[in-house]
Amino acid sequence: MSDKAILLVEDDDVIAKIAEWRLNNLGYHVCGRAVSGAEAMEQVVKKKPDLVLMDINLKGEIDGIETAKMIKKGFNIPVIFVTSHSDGPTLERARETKPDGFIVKPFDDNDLRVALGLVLK
Amino acid sequence: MDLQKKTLLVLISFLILAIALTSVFVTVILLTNYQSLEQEYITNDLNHIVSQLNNEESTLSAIAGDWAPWDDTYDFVTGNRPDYIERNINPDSFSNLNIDFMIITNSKGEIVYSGEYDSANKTIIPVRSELLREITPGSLLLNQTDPYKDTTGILMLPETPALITSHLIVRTDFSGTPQGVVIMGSYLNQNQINKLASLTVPTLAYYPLTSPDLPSSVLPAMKNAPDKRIIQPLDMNSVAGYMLVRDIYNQPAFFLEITEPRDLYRQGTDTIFQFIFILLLTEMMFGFVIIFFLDRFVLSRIKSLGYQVLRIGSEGDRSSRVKLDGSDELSGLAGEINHMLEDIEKTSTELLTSEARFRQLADDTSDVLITTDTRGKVLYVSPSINRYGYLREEIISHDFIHFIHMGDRTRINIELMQEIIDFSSTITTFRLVDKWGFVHWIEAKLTISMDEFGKPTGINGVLRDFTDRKRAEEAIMLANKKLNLLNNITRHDMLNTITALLGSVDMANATKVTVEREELLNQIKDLTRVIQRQIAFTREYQSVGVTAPAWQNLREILNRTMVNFAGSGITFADELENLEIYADPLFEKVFYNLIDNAIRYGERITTIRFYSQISEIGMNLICEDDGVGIPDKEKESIFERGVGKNTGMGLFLSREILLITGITIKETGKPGSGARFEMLIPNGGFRLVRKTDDEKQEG
Repeated sequence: MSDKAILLVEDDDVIAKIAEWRLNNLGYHVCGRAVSGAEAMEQVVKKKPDLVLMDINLKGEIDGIETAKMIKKGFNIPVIFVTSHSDGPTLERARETKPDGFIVKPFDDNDLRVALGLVLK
Repeated sequence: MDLQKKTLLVLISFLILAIALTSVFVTVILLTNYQSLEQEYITNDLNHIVSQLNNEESTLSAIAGDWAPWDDTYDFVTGNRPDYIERNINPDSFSNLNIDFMIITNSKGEIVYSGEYDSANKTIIPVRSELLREITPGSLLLNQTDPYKDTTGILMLPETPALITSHLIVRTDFSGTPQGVVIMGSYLNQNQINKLASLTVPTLAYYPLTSPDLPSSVLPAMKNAPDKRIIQPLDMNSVAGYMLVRDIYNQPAFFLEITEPRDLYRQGTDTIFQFIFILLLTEMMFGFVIIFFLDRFVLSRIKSLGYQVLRIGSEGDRSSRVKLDGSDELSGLAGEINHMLEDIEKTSTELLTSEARFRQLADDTSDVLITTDTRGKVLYVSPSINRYGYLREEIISHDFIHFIHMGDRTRINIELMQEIIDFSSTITTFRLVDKWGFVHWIEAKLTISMDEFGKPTGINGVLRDFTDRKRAEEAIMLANKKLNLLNNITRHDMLNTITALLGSVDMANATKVTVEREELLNQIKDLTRVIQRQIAFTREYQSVGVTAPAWQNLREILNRTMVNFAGSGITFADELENLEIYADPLFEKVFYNLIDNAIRYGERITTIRFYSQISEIGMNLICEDDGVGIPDKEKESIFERGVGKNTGMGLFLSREILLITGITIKETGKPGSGARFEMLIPNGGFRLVRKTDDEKQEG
């Protein structure tokens, strides 16, 4: 079991629950979950995760891309985006933040293992 | 000024000028001739006076010539006949000889006899001393040598001139030594002068050389030509002639003046006046005759012809013809005019037919045809302008630019100016504001019109309304944009759902707990239904904007919609005017969703009412029910995607359908009293529909 702590930022309860289940299966520890950008920043400060798994589309005033930009700049914590946008302007915006990885929905255990393994090896 | 007056004026002017010139010419020439003739007559009379005077001198010389070469006289002066005087000379002798004085001298020049006749007393008196002073040695009267010659002429005495002659005294046969002279003469007093005059001229007078009564112009006139006859008119009735008379010494003695009435001159002037009068009379008659015949045969006929042509032109009756009697050139001209009128009538008829055809085309076309001058003032506009609420009279004579949307005016003005400068035609678009303030999109083909000299006279335009096309384009563009956006969203939603679905499947496979597995299987079932609804929604939504918006009758849509709810027991109150709105063809689904939602969630609903309210910004189409209404906090969210008790897509889809043509929707009902949906249709997006004949009969 890895001792790496993962912060899960996802506003859909079902997906969050499934993601947490998959991360636990892969041996990662989900140290917290946030449903908005503001809550994610709060969790980062409080729990100092090793990696943030960030959904791009979040409820609230700031989306996942803006939140990731602040986390990377303020805490230098790696961020992996989880999105259903495989292309388009949103994906372009996400790339500009130089993320540490992308996971495209729908994802399975293998997708998570590869993406997280590359970042946390 | 018409031709008749002009001809009359020219003719009268010509006659006056001709009379004036002729009068001046005749007056100058004839008067000059008459004056010359008068001078000639006066000169002749003067010459006649001279001739009379010469005759008197000759008579006197002949008398003296009888007395001087006579033996008795010879003997007397030689002292041989002392009774000579007594026997030969007495008062009767003077009277018979018609002389005034006689002087006889001897060879020494001594006067041996002298005597002067006093005609009043018929006696002989001594010769006046001033005459005797002229009889002196050396006098021409005494110094003679040839007995056959004599000295005869005028001798100027201080008071009066005298006609005098002197002959040498010789024997009767002219032998012997001359022994003196016989001098005879008569005084040229006024009586003698009158005697001369009575024979020739009415008045004869003489003037001494220094007489103050002599006209001042006579002496200067004679200065260079002393023997010239001077003729001077004294006034209109008399003329005078002057002549210098020389004495026996050939020296100027006195002036003779004859005065005569100007009968000849007066006769001349009378003749001239008569001539001018006759000329005037003749020319006036000639003029009147010319004017009369010119007017009758030419001018009045031309005038009549002109009036007839003018009448035909002003009345516009092209079937009328001119009429002119006679068979001359003017009648021929009338015939030619009639031929021309026939051609014009034929051409006009063809032109009218053609114009009517084209006007009918212009009137019937849905496009607006317009003609302006170079300043943009409308000269013609086709009746199709009425569709924009304007009467043609409200457009004609006004600047067309005023009917163009404010935002397009500057550009259109520049384009029109450029077109006039370039002599080109152009196709442009602008917005036209109708009388109610609605904006219409116009595509205009503008062509410059020019006169026969190539100078721009205005602009012809064909205006085509493409507002519907423009709206459709905008609606389709908006629909495409929305479809793209919704596709992304839907795909995102579905991928999320699939992610959850696959995760749930994995979790169900992994769990050993039966209850948990059942929960996960139920979750999988729910997620699958979500995907089903999402797919169903995409099927409905993909129709939005696919077909271009169109004008749709609200009543017809409502009637079709209500059929679906015929068994619901709800009362539908259709209070709509006969209106059409411009909307997406899926507009019927909006009515359907509103009625469906009202029935589903209105709980106690009995009536749904549809009516409209027109305001300055557009028309509110209102759907109102008497159900439980919508809580204030949900008034906005009910239009969001996925919100709601059923699919959560109905009102969201309705709003999207309406927005295609700019229609907005909001809920304004009072919670607890019923829902009220207001759909605001902007100006230009709705219109009243005229009643059909059947509807009118029913109404």
